[in-house]
This record gives sequence, structure tokens and C-alpha cells, in this order.
Amino acid sequence: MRHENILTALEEISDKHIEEAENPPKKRKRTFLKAAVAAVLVIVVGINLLNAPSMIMAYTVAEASEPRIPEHPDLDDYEDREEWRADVDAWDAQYEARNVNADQAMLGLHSFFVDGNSQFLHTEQSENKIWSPINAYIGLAMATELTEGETRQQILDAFGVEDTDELRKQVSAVWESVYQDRSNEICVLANSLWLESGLEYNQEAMDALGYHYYASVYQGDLGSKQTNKDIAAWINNNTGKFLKDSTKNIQLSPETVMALYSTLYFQAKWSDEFSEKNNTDGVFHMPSGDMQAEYMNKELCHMNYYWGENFSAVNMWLKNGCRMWFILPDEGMTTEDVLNNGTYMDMLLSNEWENYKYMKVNLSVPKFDVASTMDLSEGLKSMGVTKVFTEYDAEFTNLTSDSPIWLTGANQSVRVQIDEEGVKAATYIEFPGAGAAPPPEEIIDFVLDRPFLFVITNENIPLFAGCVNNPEE
Amino acid sequence: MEDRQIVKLLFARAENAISELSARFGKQLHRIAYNILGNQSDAEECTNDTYFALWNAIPPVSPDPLAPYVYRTGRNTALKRLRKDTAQKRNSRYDVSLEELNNCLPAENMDQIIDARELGRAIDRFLTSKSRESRYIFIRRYWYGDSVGDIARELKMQENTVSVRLNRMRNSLKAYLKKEGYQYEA
Repeated sequence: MRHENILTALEEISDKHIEEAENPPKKRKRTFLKAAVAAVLVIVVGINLLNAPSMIMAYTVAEASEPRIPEHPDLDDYEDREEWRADVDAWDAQYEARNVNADQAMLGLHSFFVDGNSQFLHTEQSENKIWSPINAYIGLAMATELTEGETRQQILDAFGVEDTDELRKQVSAVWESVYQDRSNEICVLANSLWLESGLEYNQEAMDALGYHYYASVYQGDLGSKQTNKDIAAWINNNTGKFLKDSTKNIQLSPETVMALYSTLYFQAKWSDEFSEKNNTDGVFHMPSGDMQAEYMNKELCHMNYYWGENFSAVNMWLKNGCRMWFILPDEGMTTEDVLNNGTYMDMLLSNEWENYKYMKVNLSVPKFDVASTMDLSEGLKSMGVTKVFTEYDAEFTNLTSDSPIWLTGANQSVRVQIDEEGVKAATYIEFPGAGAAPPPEEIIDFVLDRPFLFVITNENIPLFAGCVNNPEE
Repeated sequence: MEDRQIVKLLFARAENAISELSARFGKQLHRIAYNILGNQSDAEECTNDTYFALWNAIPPVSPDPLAPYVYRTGRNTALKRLRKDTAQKRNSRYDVSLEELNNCLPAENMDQIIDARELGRAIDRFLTSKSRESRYIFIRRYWYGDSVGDIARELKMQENTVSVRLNRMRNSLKAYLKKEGYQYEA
């Protein structure tokens, strides 16, 4: 071909490919972009430390494993087609096994998530509550590697698993299923364990945390300025600094001998973004009174509209394949009623929900940036996980044979932000008669102008769940 | 500065629009121009011509995304300059990479008249099916005109690895185009 013709052909290379080639692809590296959603679970362990060893310096006891997620084999990288086929088959088998384990985990966790939502999203008049079910799951699951006896068994029971081997497989599968780390699409769970300097520990357990839970283990002078700073830096690095308002105040008490941190950093754009020029100001009816909110709007979007006994819902796709669900209680019902009923979880996690209809929806979602910090320990206790919090009685014997250790709290900080570009919302449908009846019209107005619930899911894994009473808290 | 803001500056005819363009795209534009023209001073002039072309085009054009538009403008400016300078026409290293690509493209003859734009769209579809890294290697070599050495440095690979990857990509492209109905001489 003549060079002029080749040049003409190359003109047809699409913008996205030219833009993508502006910079070389990154090798699975953490990115520190502005986050849309992030969570950190902090579990702090207290101990009577009369003979606390003196601090020397923090160092790495065990390193988090690199993600064990091989890329799909590319034929271009192979000389031999048969070899490529064999690798593709192996890749498929590994992918399938991971999905089976992750699905199994979700089955066992169904009641943990329903009970957790009910416990942790209970709100006062105008506050917002958010938690990350998956973050709490992994944080607490790590404790099974450090405990024995009834303490460990209670956690296994809460997750519906037989033993730690099964739990390890499931945690790894869940971690790998949700893991994404591309420039604008991030979903990274990170875990760390911080041990007091001088504490004798079981190296085997530390290595298990590094491998199966993708956790890093550090040892330092807990409660010191330097270690507080190290912990804040670790959280900031793993959440794109999205939680820096919470982390600047990290201050472990000098009695702390162990702290568990589990973070989830999530960022994604809407598959179909809102246009800022369509935004409107409107009233949001909080339980404590009306307020003004900025609404993002979409007219006549084709989407599935869902309904249940006392709620209606829609979901918005994100470019990374996750979805954000917006669940609105029917008129006269509250978010509490929906949470206590629990059937919304079947809609989120099972493929068998039948109450939905593909229709045109006029969607109106308030922009929000809400944050919440809470101690999950009381809620976890009422869900049957008690012993791990019991002074002098918790069996952290797989971590150390030193002095008795118990958890003093399980603090989780979460912040969720949505705007025109990223993470989308559900809206309220005027639904006369309430209850499980289909919508009467082909076009429906779904306006989230009063307290609502949201859940962000990756396939059937709930990453974040929240109750918004005040979009501008 | 974000690309959208640069477009706003151009719309506002703000003087600092050019310096912002230069800060954001200068290095890549110079690299494209150098790849095509093969000498530093021509590349520098060509880069300045590109800023001028962009200043004249925006507004009324409001490119979104901006980056590919800027690079296309830079590449076209360099190619125009190359065509004018007949002495350089076959000396550019970009010609070497085009010739390399030509070896895996279908030949035009009495039996086959090729619509270059249609062929280009087929190449684009082929690239979509490849891994991000393979795509990067291909586009940097044949669109941006980078040398094999430059690509290897960016990817922290051996030059030989990049050459082998390019060779496989070309073979794979040839097979793909055959399936699309293009004929090759035996």
C-alpha cells in the first residue's frame, strides 16, 4: 500500500486508543486519586500492659501478598497456540473456582449482612449512617487467624463457615472478586495488623494473614506519635486520602497492643453520567424538617424499576461493573421498616427477584457527600460475636501466649460521595396502595426527596450500605 | 490544569492558554514531531505550529476529549511539513515504521481496491481485542512513531522483547484482516 493510504487508515484509530497510549500501562500499582467511596474498619485490642516492652522501631512482620489475579492470556504472547489454549483453560478454571468460593461466602453471609444493616443503619432524626459490610467481614475474619476456641467459633458461626480453611478460601475469593485498580476504576480492599513492639507473635499466623487476607503486619510502639502517623499514612495510602479528616485524629491509647485495620477504597464513574445543566434545587424532607438539596436529574431513562413489600428501588450501573442501588421506603414507611423487614436483601443478592419491570423513569437524586464513624462492637455482640470483646476471656492465643488480649472496639469510618460523574442514585416512586404490586404506568417519577437507603454492590457482594437522612450533613 | 480548563482558556482567548497547552502536551507533541521529521529544530518549529493551529481551531471546535485532538493536530502538522520537504520524505524514521506496518497490510491491485478508512476501522477493531500493553506497543510504534528503543524504555522491557511483540502483533493483524475478507498475494 502507498504510505499516504496507510496514513489515512491510521487516522481511523479511535480517540480512546490514542488517549490510552498517552502513557504506558501501569503495573498493578496503587493509585491515589480522589475517591468516591472509602471505608476503614479499625479494630483495637486492649491489654493490661504492666510489663510493656519498650519501643524500638516499627518494622514489617509480614507483607501483604501481591494480587493473585493473573491476566487473561493474550495469544500475541505465545509462539505455540496449544500452549495458549492450555493457559486459557487454566485461567478459566481458576476464575470459575474463585466465583464458586465467593458465591459460597455470600450465601453464608446473608444473615450477617441483613442483621448488620439493621443494627448499623439504625438512625436518629437527621444523621446519616453508613457501613461497609464487606469491610467488616474481612476485618473480623482476620481475627479468626489470631484466636482459638469459642472466640474463633463465634466468628465462624456468624459467617456461616465450618472452619478457618474454608474461611481463608472464601476471603481470598471475595478479595480477588472485587479487586480493581485501574486509573478511574478502583476497588481495593487492604488490611493491616499492628502489633505492639516486643509482643511475641506466632509467625505462621502472620504469614497466613499476609497470604490469605492480603494483609500487612507491622510492629511498632502503639500509641506513640510516630506509629499513629504511620497508621494514618497507611490508611491514607490505601484510601486515596479520602478519609484524611478521620485519620488525622488517629490516636491509639498506650494500652493498645494490637490494632487491626481494614480499608476499602472505591471509585467509579456512572456508566451514564448526569449532566450538571439538568440539576435543580429542591426540598428534601428530613425526619426533623425540610431542607434544600441539589438534585441531579435524568428524564425518561430506561431502567429496571423494582418493588417489594414496603419499598421501591432502582439501580444505576457504574463503569466498573458495580451497581448503586437506591431504595426508597413507600409513603408512610421508614427506612427502619425496610431494614427490619429485610426482604430488600433478596432483591440485592439473589437472581430470583421477580418484582421488577423495565420502564422509563424520571430520576431525581440528591447529590450527597456523607460520612459516618461508628463503633460496630455493640452491634456485633448482639449478632453473637461476644467473646472476642470479653475482657481477660477472649482467646487471642493463636497470636501470642503473652498477656491476655481482647478487642476494645471495632470502629468503622466510611464516607460516600456521589455527583454527576460518579456513583449514582435511586429515586422515589409515588406508589399508591403500597405493598407488592406492580407499578401502574409505563413512565414513573422516582424522586429521592426523603430518607432513603443505598447499597453499592459488586455482583452480589455488598460493598457499602447507607441510610441518608440529610444529603448535606 | 485539567484539559477542560485548557479548552475554556482557549475559548476565552486567554494568553496563558498556549503556555498551559505547552505544559500539558509539549513533551508528547515534540516527540511526535521528532519521530516524523527526524530533527530537533524542525520538531520544535512544528510543535509551535501545532499550538498556532490549535489556537485557530478552538473555538469554534470544542474537543472532548482534548488529548487525542491535540495529538492528531500535531501529527498532521508534522506530516504536512514532511510532505513539503521532499528531500526528507524517505529519510524519516516514521517511514521505516510505516514500511514495517505495510508488510502485514493487504496489497492493492487490479482485483482489490482498498478503502483506507474502512481498513483503518478494521485495524481499530483488531486493537480493541488486544491487551492494553499490546495496544500501547502497537499504537506508540505506528501512530506516534516511537522507536522500538523508546517503547522498551517506557515499558521497562528489553528492545528485543518489544520487537518480538510487534512482530506477533503484525502477524496477528494479518490473520485478522484475512478473516475480514482482505486478500493477500501468495
